[in-house]
Amino acid sequence: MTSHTLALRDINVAFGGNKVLDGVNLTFSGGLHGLVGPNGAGKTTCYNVISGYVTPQSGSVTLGDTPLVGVAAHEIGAFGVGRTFQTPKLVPSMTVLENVMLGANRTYTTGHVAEFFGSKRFRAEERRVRELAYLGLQPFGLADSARDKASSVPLAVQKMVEIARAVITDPRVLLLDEPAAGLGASDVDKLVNALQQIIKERNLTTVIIEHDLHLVAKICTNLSVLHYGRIIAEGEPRSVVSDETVIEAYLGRRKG
Amino acid sequence: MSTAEPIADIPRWVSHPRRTRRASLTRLALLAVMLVLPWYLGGYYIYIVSLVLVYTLSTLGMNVMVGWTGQIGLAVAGFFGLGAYATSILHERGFPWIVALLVVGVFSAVIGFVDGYPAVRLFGFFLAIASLAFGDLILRVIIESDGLTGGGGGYPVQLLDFGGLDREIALYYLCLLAIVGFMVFVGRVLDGRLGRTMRAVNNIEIAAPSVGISPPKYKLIAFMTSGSIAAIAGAIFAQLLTYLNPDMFKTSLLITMLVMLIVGGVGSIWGSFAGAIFVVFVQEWLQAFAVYQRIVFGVSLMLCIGLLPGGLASLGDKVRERTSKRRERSVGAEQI
Amino acid sequence: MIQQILSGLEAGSWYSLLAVSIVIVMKATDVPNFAQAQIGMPGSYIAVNLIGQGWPAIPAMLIGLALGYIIGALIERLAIRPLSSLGHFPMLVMTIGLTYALVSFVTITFGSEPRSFPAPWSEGGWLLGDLYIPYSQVITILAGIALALTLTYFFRTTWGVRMRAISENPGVARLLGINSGLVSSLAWGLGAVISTLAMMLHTQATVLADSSADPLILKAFVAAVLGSFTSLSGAFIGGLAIGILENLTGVWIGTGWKEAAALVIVVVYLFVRMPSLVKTIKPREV
Repeated sequence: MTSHTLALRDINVAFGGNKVLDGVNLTFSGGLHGLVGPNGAGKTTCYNVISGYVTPQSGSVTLGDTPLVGVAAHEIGAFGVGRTFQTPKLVPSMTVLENVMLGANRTYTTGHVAEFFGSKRFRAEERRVRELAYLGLQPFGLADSARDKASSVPLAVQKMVEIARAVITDPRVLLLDEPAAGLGASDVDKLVNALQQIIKERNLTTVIIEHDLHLVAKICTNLSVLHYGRIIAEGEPRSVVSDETVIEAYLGRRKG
Repeated sequence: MSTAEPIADIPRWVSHPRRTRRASLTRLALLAVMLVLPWYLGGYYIYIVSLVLVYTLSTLGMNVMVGWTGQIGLAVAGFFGLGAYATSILHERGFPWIVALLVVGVFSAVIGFVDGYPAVRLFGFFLAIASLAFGDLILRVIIESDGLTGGGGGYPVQLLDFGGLDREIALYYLCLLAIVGFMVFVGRVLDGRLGRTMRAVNNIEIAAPSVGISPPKYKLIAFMTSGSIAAIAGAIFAQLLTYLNPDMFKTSLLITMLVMLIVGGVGSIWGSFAGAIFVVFVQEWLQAFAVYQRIVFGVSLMLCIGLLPGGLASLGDKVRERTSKRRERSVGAEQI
Repeated sequence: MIQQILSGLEAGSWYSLLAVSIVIVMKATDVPNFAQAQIGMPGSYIAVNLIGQGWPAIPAMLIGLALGYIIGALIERLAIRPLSSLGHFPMLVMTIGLTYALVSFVTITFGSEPRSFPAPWSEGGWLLGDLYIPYSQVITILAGIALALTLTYFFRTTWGVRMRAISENPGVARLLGINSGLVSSLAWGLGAVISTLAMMLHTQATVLADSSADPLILKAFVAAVLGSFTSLSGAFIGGLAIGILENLTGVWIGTGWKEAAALVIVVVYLFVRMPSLVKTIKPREV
């Protein structure tokens, strides 16, 4: 679906004198894409450009037909770009369910005033959101933890809750930032299964930033490798992984 | 995305959450006590309790700003003074007091908007300075408009006419009404969608835009609400004191309000009450010695920040922690 | 007009000195010290007392300054270092509490009647045509400049460099073996000395009372803001600018507004720095 296509064209980002992204071109369309590269290559910066936290010096970002550069971050989030963060950002004092409900914030048709006066329509919408959030937890097997406080659940759960929150925003594109980092093997499997199920159901374009090349090669249909702000390789996982320049980037130059 | 059909296998508690009413008995009891207080206390003490209620209200206003959206807004003393003067002036000019109150409430929201619009994009500490200056500026405007406000010479407040009712008691019930009203308002906000949104702005500001929440928008709402609440509290304050002087709203008032906020407990509704009680108590007890008042306030501020960051409101939790730990320990001993 | 500018420079020097000490403390220990002016009071009172008892002016002032350093270091050790992990707002509130504690201490120890500062240069001045330039004004302005130069030199010395390192990159600085405790102590002591000097200069132009510090502190903070809290020269120049603008406002607009000048300056300045508006997407296309 073209409206679910995310395209970056000639993105240049520099912080101070530091060039972080250098003429980056990327297209993500349907399925699961991997964005990989050594530390500091600029992967999270790409996400920040897409979701509007960082303005590039030049270049364009389009989702479907709509340009995103220069648009306010919260508008981009409401427009259809869901995202998670390297360390999960959940509200510790709220329950898991409430944290997921945050994602449905923009789907309300009633405003805060209606809420204040306790209108029936608002209460119906609130109920619908609660149910949707609960359902959103089920692919991750977290429905039983729905009433736990976010501060008391383990990291793996936090990461999955954050993904559930991003998914419930009903996005066209889902940007995941190192979702498997710090997770044990069984949790990673759970996460990947849930993710694949969700992607299939909703026909989402999903991008994953990951360090674990092995994992990414296994589950992604497409890989893009970023190194010092430039795309050095792109394509099917098998060919990318065995690409010489990629290996060099990850392991460094081998002497002789 | 609309689902009209009921979805099977969703637990009851999800679709129909029980509104917890645990502490309501205590609250009802407290309300009952407050209602019959005038029968037991003399005129002066009723005045003191009314003062506590007014200060609780203004501290609630500060809590909206600081406790919920985490902004260091220090213009509250200015809004307090604005409410006091503006309502009294309109009342004097013939407006019914309630109308004046509403007008001033709305006007303060507008001023709060003016203060907040640029301020919400400022880094935390600069915000503090900007709002402090803004609050002072409001006061300065009040002083300079001495044609209207009497400036430094003071301003006698046109008293509300309560018919034949005893003035002190009538004012007391007015305060009680205002407080109960705002506590209900605040409770409503905290539980639902707006409360979650505010908490997101407070706790995960970076992530909020990714779910379509605009932190500046909600911070601005907090600014406006906080300003209105403070102004309304100020209006009632004017009626209590019957005489206004710009000196009453200087920085020393702001510091007193900070004491109420911090000692009571930031972000806690009951903390606002506790803080107000503390301040009024100290002011009455050390009435003759302004210096000693200042020492107590200064030291209690420092102690609270250092030792009891949650203020008096957190004492309840700390006690609960201790007793449950003790219970655990004794159970463990038995099992050995 | 020149008269106004000179008075402005005099008042501005007080603000500058205080602003500079605020920035030093902020940069070295990340604490916005609302009590920065009040910290200078005990030392000033001691100096004034000693002069009243017959001591010559300069030694008395030096003792006052030394006492200021001790107080600054003490406060740092007792009240600041244990709480160093807290954020800006708690520390700001803490220092607000500190202002009350310090002022009360001063009132109890020294009483609340205003005192004057009988220094040899307090009386008299130069007469240049229409202008009357009191000696004290010149001294203040020169003292301010002298301090600015001394500080510039200081920050090139070892300790000064260490202080800058800590403020710019605390983690690395500590790895390099810089003792952050000592640097904090030094920063607060130094800040307190500068504040004491500022208060003494203020006293010689007016009087010393327990309320003397209050009007100064907010303006000093405004000056620090004008330097973005990181630039010493910005704070210094900011302070002077406030002093001058304040006086000119007093003359052109009215004495009541003089006090508001600093407020307006900071409000306008911060509002202007607001990032420009960002355009928004039209209603969501499905």
